Amino acid sequence: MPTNGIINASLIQVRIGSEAVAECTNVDINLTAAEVDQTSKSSAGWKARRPGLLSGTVSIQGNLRFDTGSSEQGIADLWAAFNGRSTVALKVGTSVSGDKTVDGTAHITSLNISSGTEDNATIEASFKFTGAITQATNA
Amino acid sequence: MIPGNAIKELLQHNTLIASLCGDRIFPKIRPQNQNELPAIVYALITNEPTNVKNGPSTLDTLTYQFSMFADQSKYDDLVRLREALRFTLERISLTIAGIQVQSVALSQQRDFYEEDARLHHFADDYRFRIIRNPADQESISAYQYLQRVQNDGGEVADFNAVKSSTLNN
Repeated sequence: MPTNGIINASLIQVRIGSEAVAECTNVDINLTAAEVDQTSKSSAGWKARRPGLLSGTVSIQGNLRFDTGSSEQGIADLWAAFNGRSTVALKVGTSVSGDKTVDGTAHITSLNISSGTEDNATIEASFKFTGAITQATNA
Repeated sequence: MIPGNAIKELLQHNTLIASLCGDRIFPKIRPQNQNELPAIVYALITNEPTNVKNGPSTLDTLTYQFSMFADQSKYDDLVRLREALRFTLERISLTIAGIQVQSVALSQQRDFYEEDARLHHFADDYRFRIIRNPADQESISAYQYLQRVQNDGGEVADFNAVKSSTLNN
């Protein structure tokens, strides 16, 4: 049964393969459709457009720790994917049965580590989808 | 939260604090019959958990306020006490009463004068970064309970059975 009511943002995670990213504090997913200009002399002076190429990005923020669990994705895994220029299977959504997720294959386009003073060291990773982005339903 | 007298015991390891305050270091409140000064009263004023998506906070930042009092003729003693307190706490990393303190940082210091009681009063705030391991807790957390309930197919199971099972796994 899907989650009732307004979703608690804590439930929405990014999973790489089947493993959630450890210590994640925020997830953003942005889907965009490029514009194809269709304006012509017959547009009566109004801009006309239609959607073109579809694409998407995901960015995550979290706390940095090295002792992540064996079933979690940590900084070492993110580094391996970044350094290997490899694509990863991303799934964004809850893990609740019946809830919708956004799935796709992506590669890491940026990986940042921030460290202030007497504060949590944090990481930020950005992913760009390559190929089709699909909507799925958790089993 | 750091248990009652653990901070007091830590402070009493500093010989200057011990010589100035003796046993007059109190959690939360200074007893009414306790008029001897200087004295330190400390209390938890905020707890900021590190909220993450995949479970309970594994690092809490506790802000403790240390209020130091001295007679109006003992301002210098209070200044020395403040410095001794800072020397004892700032940037320490240790385990107190089973609680793992990753670091302590001075947050702010304020000076007051209590007109009615004619006392100097310093209020210094320190932020304690406490490492938590929810799996080590003696009792099951509500989060673990709900997770088990969800895993069991959404049925509200017997709390004690879930608690026993979770603690044994």
